[in-house]
Amino acid sequence: MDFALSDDQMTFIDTVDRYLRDTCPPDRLHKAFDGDEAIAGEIWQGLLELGLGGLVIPEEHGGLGLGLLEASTITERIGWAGAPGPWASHLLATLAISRAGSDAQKARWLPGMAAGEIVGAVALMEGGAWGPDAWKLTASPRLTGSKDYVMGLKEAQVVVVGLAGGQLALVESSAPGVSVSPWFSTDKTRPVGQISFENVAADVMPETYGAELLDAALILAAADSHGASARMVEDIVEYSKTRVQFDRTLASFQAVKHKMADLATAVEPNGPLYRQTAAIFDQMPDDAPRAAALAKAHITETASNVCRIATESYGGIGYTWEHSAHIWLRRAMFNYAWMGAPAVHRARAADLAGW
Amino acid sequence: MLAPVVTEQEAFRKEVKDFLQEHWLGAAERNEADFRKKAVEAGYVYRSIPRQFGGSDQAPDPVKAHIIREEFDKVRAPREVSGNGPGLLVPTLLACGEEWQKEMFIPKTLTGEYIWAQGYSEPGAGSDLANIRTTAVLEGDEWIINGQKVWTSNAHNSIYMFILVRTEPDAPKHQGISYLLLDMRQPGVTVRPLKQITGEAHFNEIFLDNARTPKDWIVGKRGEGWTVSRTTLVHERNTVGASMGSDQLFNQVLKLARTTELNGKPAIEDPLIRDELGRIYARVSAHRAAGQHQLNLAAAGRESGQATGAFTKLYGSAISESIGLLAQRIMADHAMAQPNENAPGAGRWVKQYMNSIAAQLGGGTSNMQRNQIAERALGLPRDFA
Repeated sequence: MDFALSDDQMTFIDTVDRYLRDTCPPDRLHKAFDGDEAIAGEIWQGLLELGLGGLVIPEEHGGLGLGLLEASTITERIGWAGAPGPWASHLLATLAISRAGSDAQKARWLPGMAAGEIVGAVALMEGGAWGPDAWKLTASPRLTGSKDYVMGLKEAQVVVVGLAGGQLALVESSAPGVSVSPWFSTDKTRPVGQISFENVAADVMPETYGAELLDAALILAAADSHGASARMVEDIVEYSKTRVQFDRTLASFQAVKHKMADLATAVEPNGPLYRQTAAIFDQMPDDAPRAAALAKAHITETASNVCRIATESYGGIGYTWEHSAHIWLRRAMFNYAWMGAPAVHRARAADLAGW
Repeated sequence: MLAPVVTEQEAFRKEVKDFLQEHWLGAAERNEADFRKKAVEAGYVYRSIPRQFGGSDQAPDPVKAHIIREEFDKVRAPREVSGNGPGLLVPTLLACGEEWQKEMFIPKTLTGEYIWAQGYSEPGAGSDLANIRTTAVLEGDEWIINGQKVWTSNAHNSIYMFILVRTEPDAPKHQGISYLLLDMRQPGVTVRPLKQITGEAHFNEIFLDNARTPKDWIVGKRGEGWTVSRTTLVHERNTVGASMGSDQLFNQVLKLARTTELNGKPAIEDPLIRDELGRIYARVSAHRAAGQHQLNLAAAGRESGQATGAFTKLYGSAISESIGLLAQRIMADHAMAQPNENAPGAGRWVKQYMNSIAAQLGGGTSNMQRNQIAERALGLPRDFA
């Protein structure tokens, strides 16, 4: 499985990375964290203006026509930066419409989404479970019920809703009968909430794509978490070089050095792992469900542990609200739970492997 | 856009499968050496080694290499010969050796005819390897070697040894070392097995008492042995910690879980065992992907990161330990004693667990790997040279 990135891909990623470094310095992230919606909105809008809104949308609908390999690599950088915005939810919505929508549905939504004028979201979790096996809502004739932990409720004009049997339907968030309630979110950069439907007109997409959509979501969660954990390691390593106690830098203590080495070792192979999994999704779809489940379980769990240990390694300063460590700690905690906890996906992977 | 790539890959996979069907699965008599010769001719093994030295001289292609590995392993067809020779000496000779040395030693090493011992560690030079005291003095056309080596694996089966010796006693520690090749079949070389915690003796002590080797059996120049040996150490880390071992070991523990009863049903049905299998398999996959990433970088002519060998070894040996622990969970009481040789694991998993300790020591201890990672990859201050 080839998951190497070409020079063109790397140039594009560098462009996004530069934008994120410029717009997401810690002081701005803290403001966004503390509820400055203008800053959060500006960072998100800037990403859309870079064309990222149409990353996986086919070129004939105005998008870049790229695959999940590219999308997940960008997601890693977003996780690294701690960027606010419903990136993953929007990306999944564009993927779903591109792959499962009718010509009319694609024509209706994709050009606007590619242009960054329309934001989408996915609403999957139902009754405590994320995967299509647990979806019970139906849209014929009308949609009634609710979905939980939906990311991007504030921004989205169109929501992709998971239905019984793994089907997906499009609902306009302004349609009569749709209501949303934001929840008190752990990761302040990516608020989630509940969306409820009361006898709502829903536009069912012709292709059954729920299972694939979940796989893609798992890979994005893994990529985002990998970025978050890599950032935490970079930051704590730098801190250990400058913080002085007992007249020496923390980094000069072998106990600290070895802990840093262990964190780096835990994180290092996860980049190749999520990229390989994304390439499997793009090129060998039969193998994707199991690979995505394992990658999600492993990377989000590792990232949570790494962020926890890195936060602790700062000493007291890392425990303060004003320090940045908790921005990525919370991000990692969110990704750990989002789309299903690691143990759930390990159990699925074991079944899928025929163990 | 992607379709042609997949087709090309699948076509290559079919080619490999057909080859295996004809020459391995369908062979009237399975002979490893003959099969390997055919696999070299077909370009499937020793891909990075020039034809003239017995390799198949293929352009780097990580995808093809991966497909070959997968398909060969599926049917347990032999790939490259394992051991110090092909894994450590051959890459070193290719990088630093004279042409005649390559011609003389590489081909028969690749077929497994020449088995090599590695003469590095000494009683006073373990993690601090550059502290070696074994000397070599040039007398006429020969080096006269005196000293002691230890932890030399497979020395009792080896014909040759590549050895680090001090040839420039007045030079600074790292600059006084040379890398020599030595015929073990001579009176000045005494091999004594070292019994290890498993009860077996894979390691040896080697006593060198006026052992001799020709003047030109030196790789690199006098005093450059440390640098030459670094080439080998990099390869050793890639070998010791390589993900293939993890893959195979995982498949074995999976088989153990399928075939062993735990609490009255196959262990594989126990949710906790399934969870741990998933945990470990994800790490095996990550390890494999990281190796693939290194291959991709190499194939594209891009620089790999720092201390990649240390990362690989630390990660891989930790997987080995986890697999050993899982095997103990599955074996349960059988980890204490087995009623007969055919009991689950038949003692091999007890050994495997202990061997995982060796994996964390051999080729540089885990703490030495941590130092390397911290210093080279993370830029933290050096401890000691």
